[in-house]
Amino acid sequence: MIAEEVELLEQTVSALTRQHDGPDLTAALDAFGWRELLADEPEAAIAAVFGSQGVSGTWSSALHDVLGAALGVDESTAVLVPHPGATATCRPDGDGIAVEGLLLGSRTGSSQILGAMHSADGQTTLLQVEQTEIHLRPIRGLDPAVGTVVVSGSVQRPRFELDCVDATSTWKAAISSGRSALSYQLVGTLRAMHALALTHAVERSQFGRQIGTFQAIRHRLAESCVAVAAANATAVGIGQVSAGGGDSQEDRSLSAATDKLVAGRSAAAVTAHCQQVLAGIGFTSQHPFHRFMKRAASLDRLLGNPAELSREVGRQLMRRGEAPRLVEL
Amino acid sequence: MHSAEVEAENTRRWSGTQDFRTALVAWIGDHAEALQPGYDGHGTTQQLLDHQRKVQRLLYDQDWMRWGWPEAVGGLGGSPLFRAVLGEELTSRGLVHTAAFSMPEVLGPAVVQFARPELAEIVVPPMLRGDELWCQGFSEPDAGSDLGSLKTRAVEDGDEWVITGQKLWTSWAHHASRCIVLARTEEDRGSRGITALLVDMDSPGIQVRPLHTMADVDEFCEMFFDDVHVPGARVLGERGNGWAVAQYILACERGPIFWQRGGWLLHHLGELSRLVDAEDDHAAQLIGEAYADVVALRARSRTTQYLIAEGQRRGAESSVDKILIATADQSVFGVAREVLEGLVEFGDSPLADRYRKEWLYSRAASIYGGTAEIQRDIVAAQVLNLPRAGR
Repeated sequence: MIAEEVELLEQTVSALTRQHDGPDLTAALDAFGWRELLADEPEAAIAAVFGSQGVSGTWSSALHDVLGAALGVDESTAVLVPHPGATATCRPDGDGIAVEGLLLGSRTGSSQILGAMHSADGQTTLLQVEQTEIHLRPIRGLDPAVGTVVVSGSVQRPRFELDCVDATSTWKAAISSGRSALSYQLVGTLRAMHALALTHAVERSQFGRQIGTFQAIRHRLAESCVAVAAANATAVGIGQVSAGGGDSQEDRSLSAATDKLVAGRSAAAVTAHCQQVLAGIGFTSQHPFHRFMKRAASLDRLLGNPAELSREVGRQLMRRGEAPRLVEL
Repeated sequence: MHSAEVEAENTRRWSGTQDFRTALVAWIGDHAEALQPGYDGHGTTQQLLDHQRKVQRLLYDQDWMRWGWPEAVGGLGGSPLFRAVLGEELTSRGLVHTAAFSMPEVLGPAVVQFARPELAEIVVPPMLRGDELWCQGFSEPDAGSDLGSLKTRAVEDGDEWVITGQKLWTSWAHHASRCIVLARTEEDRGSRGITALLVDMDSPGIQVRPLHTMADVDEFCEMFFDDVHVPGARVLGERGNGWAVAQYILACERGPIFWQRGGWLLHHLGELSRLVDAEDDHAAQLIGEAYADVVALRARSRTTQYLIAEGQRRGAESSVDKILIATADQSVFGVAREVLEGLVEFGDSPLADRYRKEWLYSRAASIYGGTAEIQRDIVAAQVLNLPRAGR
């Protein structure tokens, strides 16, 4: 895509994510042609949609769409997101299979669930489950607006396995796409928090001065600015390198893990600094800060939290015996 | 051919950085022996600089050191990205020490930009070839973070300037042939009354005293100027415009140098990942965290390198790069100290010597080149446009 097309895409998607939220936003994105774009220009589509959702604090079925597209399933199947701390959504349970995971604003029309099961030797199997076979429990959670549904249950073998050449690497690629999407949304979310704190620092006065004149506040906001810039540069830089192609699956997987790791580390910094600058008003439900703060905290846990991701990234470096460059000139 | 045509031809020689990189990497492979430092451990300042000189001469004579520099100063033209790639390929293999290899990048571009052309064409080629080492006389005992309050004075005497004063924290001054000195030429005009001069270090009246760092390296120096005569033609830029030269140099420090330092940090993280126990999950987590800091720095710096290649400069926003590199630097060597378990404190191998010095040196990453606090002040005032007190 040329720069003008990307800009137009971002403007259009930005308007949609500001005007719509939830299933309404999913419908608006469908009408816009988001899923076709996801198939043709995945990098640009993910950057635009998730970045905009982040800034506007909205949510749609887009995460499930990204996972579904990577696994080659259509809208009748919702890919189950591993519960925080887990990497699989299915595991052997006696004669049957235990299914556990989350749906986060998945499409209401879906009737199937796709689960992933790892074997002891690290191979992944992708399994189809009818939604009627298992228990679906909508919960509010920290951030009710993401529409969390907790999925659990036990199903009988044999299961219908998804037809794909290499389920292990397909699942890895799907997780990488999901991590990249979540990183973009985290960046947008951090931008929104940072903007709120910045506005407050200028509008709020104490001791007869705008609080943004105090060095303690200024340095917190500078730290926040640096953390946002780091996460943004990483998402964009890694995205451009991936879009350029030529890198191995191993590199793509390392890239996406590092991308989300940087976003997660930045999220911790930006959230802490902005919350402290916003002080009392930021602790109320009338101020919008809490929406972004809860969103960042929730997304930070999905598909790998910073501690898990750093171990994964570090182990990969140790296995390879080198620190790959990832971003090149 | 006219110089513009040569430049255009040279620019076409490489289809891009990847092309340049591929040829360079092959060349490095063919010259592995000549490029390898001939000492164990961190090396003394003398060993470091001797190796640096040897490598730079080889690179210059075989053209690698000339790409990305203008022809007028002995370069072969082409994008400054080539300079970033050259530094990265050498530091990421541990073939040169980034502290020494960064010197041409700190001071070269400012002399190209601000020196009279007839001066630049004489002094820059020997510097690029490693025949000359240069240094930077900015800070003073009472002018550190508050550089604008410097007191070293230059007084006009016919067509010469006479410099008197004291400088501090000047890296490599005891080995340097020339120095860019910031001196006050206008009284009481703060940062506006300063002039930059290129001074020969063998001028009568200059005294240099090395300061031993806590890393047991004699890198920094004090310099004393006692009626040092400098020709008027050695003024860089306009009289009274030294602040702009200083800002330019600080911006240059954040260009290709940060890219090569990123390579240096990756080199050490790679080494650490080979040294630790493969089953050590705690080490894995720490290495992963440090890696994230380095990747973030490189992702950010990458956009800065492209801006510079387009002839732009990042101004105050480069403070973001500076904060990220200080963070990454301290993160990598802080993690090294953790995962190498006592090596820094109690080891006596060449490896221990290297990591001890690098770890100690990294403690200054948030101090040199503008402290972390000054960088945050700059970001707050000039990037975020926060109001200042009393306005």
